Amino acid sequence: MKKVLAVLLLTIVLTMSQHAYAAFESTYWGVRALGMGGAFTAVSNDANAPLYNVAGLGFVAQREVTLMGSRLFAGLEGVEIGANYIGYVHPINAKYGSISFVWSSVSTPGLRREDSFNIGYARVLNDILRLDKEVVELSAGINFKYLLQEVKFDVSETDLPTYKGAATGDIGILAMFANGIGVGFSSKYIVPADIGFMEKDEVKNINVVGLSYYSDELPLIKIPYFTVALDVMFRDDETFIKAGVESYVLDRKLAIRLGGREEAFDIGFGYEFAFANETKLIIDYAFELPLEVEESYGSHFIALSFRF
Amino acid sequence: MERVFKNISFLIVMLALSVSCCFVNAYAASSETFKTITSVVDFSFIEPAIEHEKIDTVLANGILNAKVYANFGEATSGNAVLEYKLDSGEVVEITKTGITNRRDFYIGTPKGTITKDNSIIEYRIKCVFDVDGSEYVRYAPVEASSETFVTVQVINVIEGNIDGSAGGEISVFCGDQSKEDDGYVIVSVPEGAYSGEHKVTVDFLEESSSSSGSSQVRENVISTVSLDIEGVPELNSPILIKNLPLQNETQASKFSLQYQNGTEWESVTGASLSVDKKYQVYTFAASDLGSYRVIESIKLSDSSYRPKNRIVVKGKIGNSYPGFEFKYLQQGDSITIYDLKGKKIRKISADGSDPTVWDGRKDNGDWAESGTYIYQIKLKSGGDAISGTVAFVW
Repeated sequence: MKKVLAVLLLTIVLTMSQHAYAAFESTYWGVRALGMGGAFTAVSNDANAPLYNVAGLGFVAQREVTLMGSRLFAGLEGVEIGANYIGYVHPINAKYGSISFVWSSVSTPGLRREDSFNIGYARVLNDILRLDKEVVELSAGINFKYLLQEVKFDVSETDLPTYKGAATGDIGILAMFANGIGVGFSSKYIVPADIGFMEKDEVKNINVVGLSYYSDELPLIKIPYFTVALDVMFRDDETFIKAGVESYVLDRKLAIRLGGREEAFDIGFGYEFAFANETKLIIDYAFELPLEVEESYGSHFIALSFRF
Repeated sequence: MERVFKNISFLIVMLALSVSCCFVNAYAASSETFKTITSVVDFSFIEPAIEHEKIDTVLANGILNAKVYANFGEATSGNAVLEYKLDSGEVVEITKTGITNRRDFYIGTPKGTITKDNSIIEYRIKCVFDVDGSEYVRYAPVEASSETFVTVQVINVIEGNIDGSAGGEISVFCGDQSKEDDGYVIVSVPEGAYSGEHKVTVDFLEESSSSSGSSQVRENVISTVSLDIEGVPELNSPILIKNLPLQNETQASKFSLQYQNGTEWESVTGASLSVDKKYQVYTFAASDLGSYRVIESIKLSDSSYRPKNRIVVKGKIGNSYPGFEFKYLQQGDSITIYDLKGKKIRKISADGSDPTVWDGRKDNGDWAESGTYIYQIKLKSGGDAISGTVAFVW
C-alpha cells in the first residue's frame, strides 16, 4: 500500500510542475466514458483507456477495437462539429503488457480540425514492485502522441501553413484495490507541443486525478455491478470536476450510465452481445445535454466495440 | 491453431489500417505544411520597395484610399501602415496585416474619417516585414525623401461656372485609386438646364452614419449631396451627379434617393438613380435644387449577421483586422461565445456601432486558446439564436 502511494505521489509531483499552453483538450472520447460524464481516469479498463488514462491498458484482458462517431450540439443551424475515434488495444501478456493504437479527430468541415495519433503502452507492475495482487493491482503506462491542427485559411492568409503538427505524450498510473476502490492519475501533454501557426502556442498540460469505487452489489440500495467515479482535472489555474455512475443489469448485458460536469449532463447505455470463444460485440450510446449553450438538442455519441 | 491464426490475421489487418491512416494524413499534411521559405542569399538582388502613386485629392466621402504595390524582397509577406495627421498634429495609424508579397493591395482610412474640416491632410505609407528575424521598413517613394509626409487636398465642395444654355461639366479626380479608371466625381449640366452662365456649387456634405430599419431590413445613409446654382431658382431639366461614396463592397439589395423638402426627407422617384456596385459609384439626375441623400437598404437574413471572416489569427489582430466582425447588430443585441466543451467564455453586448467585434479574448481579458468556437447571436427583436462556428488560432 505504501509503495502504491509512493509511486502515485512521485508521479504527481514530477508532472504537476509541467507547464504549457493551449488547445487539444480531449473531452469527447469514448462513449462509455462520456456516459459517465467523462469521469474515467480511475476506471479506464477498455479501449477508451488511451485517451483517459493510458495505464488502464494494463487491465485490458481481451483485444478490443472500438469505433466512435458523433454529432455535437445537434439542432444548432450553422454548427456542424463531429468527434470521431478509432482505438485498438492488444494485450500481449503479463510480462510484456498491452499496446494500443488510437486515432481521434474533432472536425468542423471547411473550418478547422484536430487530429491525434496515439501509440500507447502499459503494464501491471505488481511483479516488479512485489505488490500483493490480493490487495492491489498497479499499472503504469505511456502514450506517444502526434497532434495535427488543420485550419482552412482563406486566400488572404497564404503566408501561413494549412497544417501544424507537434509530438507530445501522456503518462498515467492506475491502482485498483481489491476492496473495489480505484485511484488513477493521468498527466497529458507532458512535453510542450507547439501547434501555433504564427505565434508559439503550446498545448496545455492537463493533470487528472481520478477516484472510483466498484461493487458487485451496492450496499443498502442493492444496485448491481455498480461503479461510481470522480475526476478532478487541473489545467493552469483552472480546476474541472467530472462525475459519473454505471450499473450493469440483465445479467451484465445492459449498462446504464449517468454523469456530468459543469457544462453538461450525460446519460448513456450499452448493450453487450456475447458470442462463442468469449467474443463480444458492444454497442454504446451516450447523450450529452449542454447546460450553457442554448437551443441545442444535445450531442449524440455512438460506438461499436468488438472484443475477441 | 485456427484461432491463433485468425487472431494474428486480425491484428495484422488492424495494424495495417492504423499505419495507412497515419500515412494518408501525414502525406496530406506534408503536401501542405512544409512550405519551403527560401532564405536570403544576397539581399541586394531583390531590393525591397514600395510603389504608390500619390493621392492628389480626397473628395467628399472622407475616405483616403491608396493603391500600393509592395516588394518585400525575400520575405513572403508583411504589414502595411497608412499614417495620417489630424489637425491636432496627432498621427493616426491604419495597419493592414498579412500583405502578400508582390501584389497590389489597397489601404485606406475608415469611412468618414476625414471630414470637411480637414482641408489639407498629410499622409505617408510604409510597409514592415521580417527577413530571417530582422525587421525591415520601406516607405512609398512618392517624394524625394519618402519618409516625409505628403499632402493631399480634401475637397467637399465642387464649384464652377457653367453656361446652362450650352451645358457643361465639372469633373474632379477624387484620388481614390481603388476606382481605377473611374475615379472621377462629375457634375453634368445638360443643354438648356437653365439660362445663362451661373456658378454651380455641389456640396458633398459630411456623411451621416445614421441607420434605421427593422431587424429584417437595415437602411443606411451613404451619401448626402446639396446642389445650388447661384441666381437660378429652378431647373428646366435635371442635372446629372455622379459620386463614389462607398469604400467596401456593399451588400445592399436596393438603393433609393430622398429629397429634403423643408425639414422632411421624402422619396424621389424617376431620378434615374443607378449604382455600380463594382466601382461603388452612384449616379442620379437632380430635378430640383437643394439637398439629396442616397439610402442603401440591406435585406437581412441569418447569414447577414454571421462573420464573414470565420478564422482569425491572434498575431494579426490590429486596427484593420480587429477580430471576428458581426455586422448589423443593434443596441440590445448580443453575442455569446462558447468553447467546444459548451462553456461560455465571452458575452458581448452590441452598443450600436457596426460591426460588433469579438477580439478573441475571454470575459476575463485573457486570450482564448487556439480552437473552434461556437457563437450564438441573439437579437432583441426575438426569434431563435443565430449560431455558427469560428476558429481562433495563434
